Amino acid sequence: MNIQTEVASPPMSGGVDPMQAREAADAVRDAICRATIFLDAQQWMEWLGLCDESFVYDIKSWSPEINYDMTYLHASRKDMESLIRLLPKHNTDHSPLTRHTTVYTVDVADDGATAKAVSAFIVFQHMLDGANSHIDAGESRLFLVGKYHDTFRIEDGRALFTSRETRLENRRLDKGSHWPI
Amino acid sequence: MEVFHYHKAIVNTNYKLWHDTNCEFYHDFMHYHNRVTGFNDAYFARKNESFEHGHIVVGTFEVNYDNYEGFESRAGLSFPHLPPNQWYMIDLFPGMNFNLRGSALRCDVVTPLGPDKVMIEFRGLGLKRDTPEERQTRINHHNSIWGPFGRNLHEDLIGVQGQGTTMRPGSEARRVLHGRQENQTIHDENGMRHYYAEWGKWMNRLPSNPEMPYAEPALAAE
Ligand SMILES: [Fe+2]
Repeated sequence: MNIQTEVASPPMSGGVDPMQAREAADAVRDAICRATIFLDAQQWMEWLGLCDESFVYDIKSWSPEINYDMTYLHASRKDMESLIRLLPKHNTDHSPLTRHTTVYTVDVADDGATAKAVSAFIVFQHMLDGANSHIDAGESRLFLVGKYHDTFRIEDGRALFTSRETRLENRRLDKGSHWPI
Repeated sequence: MEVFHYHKAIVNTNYKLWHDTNCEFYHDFMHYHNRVTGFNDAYFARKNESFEHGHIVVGTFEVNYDNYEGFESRAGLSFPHLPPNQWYMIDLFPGMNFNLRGSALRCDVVTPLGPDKVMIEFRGLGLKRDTPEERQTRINHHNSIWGPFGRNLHEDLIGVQGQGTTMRPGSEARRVLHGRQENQTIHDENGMRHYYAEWGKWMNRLPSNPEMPYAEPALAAE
């Protein structure tokens, strides 16, 4: 597994200034961590505030059962906004989710204007009631495991998400979720 | 056809309650999506038809997807011989469902793991001949309602788990009422009465009182 926390490919020549690349990589890590905090806190609009207008969000998983690279959710930023706005009208399991995110690699493009990052995540579900609230409530259960494959636009030292591909290892999803992961 | 979607759920409820969500539509009241895209005269005129051996067909109507904010009509893509935006369902006894909403087909198969636990496997299907764009559209349509992160499936699963909760060991005896009679239209529960009559025959239990042996219903079968 390729695990590194430094800029993956420092430019050999003609690329972005190493200091600028390091700052861009720091901005990317900062954006990923803030995204996790906003998602955990269900501050959906603040999370979208970290995203570019062109943002595309996907949840995907490979299925050996059907030999197919599946898409579980595909949404533009506009789709995510309307999903979030309509959430209060839906019946949703309100057991909070928290994500443990570890940034593995950050690759800043030669021109310093874009970047890619790969992070691992584990999502826990903290039971609000469950099948028997007396027993289940307050229990934390492993919900999802996977990796974020993110792309960014770097602007004025700030990294804005242009895409997030959430790749799940899970295909058993039980009740699923109305919330972005 | 080609399968483009697979996921499974294991939930603490009886398998018949999952099949119920695919046979009985009074529970559409819990789906905001279905309330705004359906719930017109054509919806309430949908027919539930019962067939031999506990099988059911839920009749179709035209769904108004564009009534849900951010969604569009799905008239541009359908299945062969199926008019646009239609929604048919076939429920096979004792726990298999084919659910065709215009552009995507869903198939559920239940595997009971115990009286209070069921595994449901969900598959989504499109046409083998789909272009990449058509396939992506079918997948998006499928996921918006039926995916693990979609609007309706999550609500159905919360519903059946809630029913399972009320029936857990130590609870008072519960009765599932299937008493709505509305000329075999969409909120009539004739489909589930028909299903339980077949279940009673197989199990030699009276659906209204499972401690008693099966007896033919006094009224003519619906
Ligand atoms: Fe439903």
